[in-house]
Amino acid sequence: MNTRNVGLRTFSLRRRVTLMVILVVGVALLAMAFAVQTAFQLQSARELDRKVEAKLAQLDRVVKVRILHPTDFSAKYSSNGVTVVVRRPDRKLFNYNGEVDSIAELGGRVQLEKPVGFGYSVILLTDSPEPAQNRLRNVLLLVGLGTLGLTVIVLVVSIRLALRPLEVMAGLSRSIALGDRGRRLAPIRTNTELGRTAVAFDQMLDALEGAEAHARASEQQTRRFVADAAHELRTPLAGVQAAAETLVRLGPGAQQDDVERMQVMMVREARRATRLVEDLLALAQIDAGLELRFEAVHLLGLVESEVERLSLLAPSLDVEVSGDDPVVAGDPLRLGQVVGNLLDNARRHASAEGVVHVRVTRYPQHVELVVLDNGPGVPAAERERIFSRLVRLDTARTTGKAGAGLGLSIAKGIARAHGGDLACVEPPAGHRGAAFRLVLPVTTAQDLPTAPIPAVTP
Amino acid sequence: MTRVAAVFQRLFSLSPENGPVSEPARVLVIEDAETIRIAVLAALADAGYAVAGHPDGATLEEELQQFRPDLVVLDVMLPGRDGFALLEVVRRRSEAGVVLLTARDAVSDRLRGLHGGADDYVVKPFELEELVARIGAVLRRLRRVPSVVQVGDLVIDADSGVVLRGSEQIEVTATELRLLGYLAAQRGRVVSKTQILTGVWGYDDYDPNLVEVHVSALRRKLEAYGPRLLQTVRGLGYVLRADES
Repeated sequence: MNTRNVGLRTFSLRRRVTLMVILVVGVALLAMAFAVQTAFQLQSARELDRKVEAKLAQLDRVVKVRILHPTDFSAKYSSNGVTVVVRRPDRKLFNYNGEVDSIAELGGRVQLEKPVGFGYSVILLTDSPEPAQNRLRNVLLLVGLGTLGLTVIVLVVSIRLALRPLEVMAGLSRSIALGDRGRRLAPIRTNTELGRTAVAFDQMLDALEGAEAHARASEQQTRRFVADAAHELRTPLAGVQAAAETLVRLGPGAQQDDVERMQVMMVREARRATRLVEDLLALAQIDAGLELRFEAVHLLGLVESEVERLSLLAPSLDVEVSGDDPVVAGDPLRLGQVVGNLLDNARRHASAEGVVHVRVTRYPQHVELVVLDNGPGVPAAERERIFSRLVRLDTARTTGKAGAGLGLSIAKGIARAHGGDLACVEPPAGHRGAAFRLVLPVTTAQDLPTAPIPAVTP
Repeated sequence: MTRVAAVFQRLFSLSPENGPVSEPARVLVIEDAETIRIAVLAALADAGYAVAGHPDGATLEEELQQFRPDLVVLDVMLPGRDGFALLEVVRRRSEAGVVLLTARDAVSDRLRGLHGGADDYVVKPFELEELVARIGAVLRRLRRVPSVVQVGDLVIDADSGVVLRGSEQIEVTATELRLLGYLAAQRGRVVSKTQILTGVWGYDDYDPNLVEVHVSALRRKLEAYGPRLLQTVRGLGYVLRADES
């Protein structure tokens, strides 16, 4: 088989999507953290400014009223993130806890130093913004990483769930490849991407398995036919061989009787083999498509000439022909073969004082030809099977009158090539023999083709 | 001379009730299909058996007494009494082996035959060679086939390849032994060159000169110790026969 490759790019869907989402979420988180941080800084700076201004305004009002002890002063006015440090004229520094050695040891940020008279000045210290900012950064980092981690987990799980149908498809493909035919995905929803893929997949399987089953069936049929044909051919050939060998063995002292019997057997078996080969060729031709030369055929006339031929073979057989004489479009040689095979079959199975009825009837839509013998008949269960190739019914129907069983298959093939059909039917009331009904399409004069109609393969 | 001694021992010690050992085994064929019967009889005669045939079992009892077969080939599907009924008769009235010809490839038929005392069966359609081989096997099992054949003062043991004329051993080639074995199996019966050719060399070679060359070589060796045994029958062929005169 010719294989053309698409060269499908098969990156890992899961890894690619995960990476992309991590990248996007990470960038988004970073940007958010940066924005929050900046806003916080701006906000806290503005807040401090406001606090310092408010403190200054407060101090402006109070300093002029009374001077407390520096420690008390600091304690009273330090609040709300602003520490008031008092510098005495002796340059000593006090905060709400008492004297301090230097500003530096208090931490915080010096916003301004303002003299308040009498050599005193106040220094406004605000808490350093770093710890708060650090806390914020830590929180942001933690939340960000947490979000990222959660995203990854959710993503991996949901991608796995989302891709599970693909795994199912892959698993099904593998099991089908290993010979487990007949299974299908049968998606619940067909309007999704995976649903459509699954439907396409199932359709492909239907097509492949249908073709495979068909090929296998016809191959099997061919094989069985070849085996049957070989088996059927072996019998007459073995007969010829046995007769010939016996002739040699009988030698010079043989009885003339025995010798002649063997010679007759050789001829008979050889003729049987020849007829079988001819029938097999005819069947092969029907299979390949018969080339029919259509012309107007008078069916009753055709039957009568076949009956005449039959009367030479079986003078004791009583054949009665009756009915209309319709004209059908057909290949006279092939239709003659059909009628001949039916009559042959009837002759073989009719009883000793054989009677065969042939009746031709013209109906509005079709023409019917029924051949009825007075033999043992065909059981209803076998009526389909007798048209299979090389089938012989067991016991009485064929004992001693070996037909290869191809005549009926050939007749049916020809009937179908004519657009008609051949079937073994229930004999009419009062009869117990086998009844065969040939149906052909009815033809009027203007229907008759001038050129051969292309053959129909049955 | 131990091999020769063995041949003599076999020649004189086997189954006294069946008469002289060098007598060929006797096979009766009961088969209604004439062509099959003729073919089977011809093949058995060719293999060296004394044969008789009948289309039915009507005269079976008489044949068992008069023809005294060592083996009976019975078709199962027969007019009148069928093969199974005849099998019982053979079993009751004689020691003969029985080979059945069963038309149907039905296990029940074969089992019925074997349970009824048949020694073997062949399913139709059969190869003649197979039937002859199976008959030979049954006869050997029943010890009714002499491997030693005597014609006049000539003794042939095809199994050990020993050929004696009187008390003298004759050295023969493998082909000559086969030719002599074939002629000995057909002893007393005229066989044509073609029959010898197909019987000894098969159907694939066809050179009548083979027969003449080997026959004259064999004659030279045999006639070194006595009168002619391998006779020419003008226009017909040859026969291995001890002249009584």
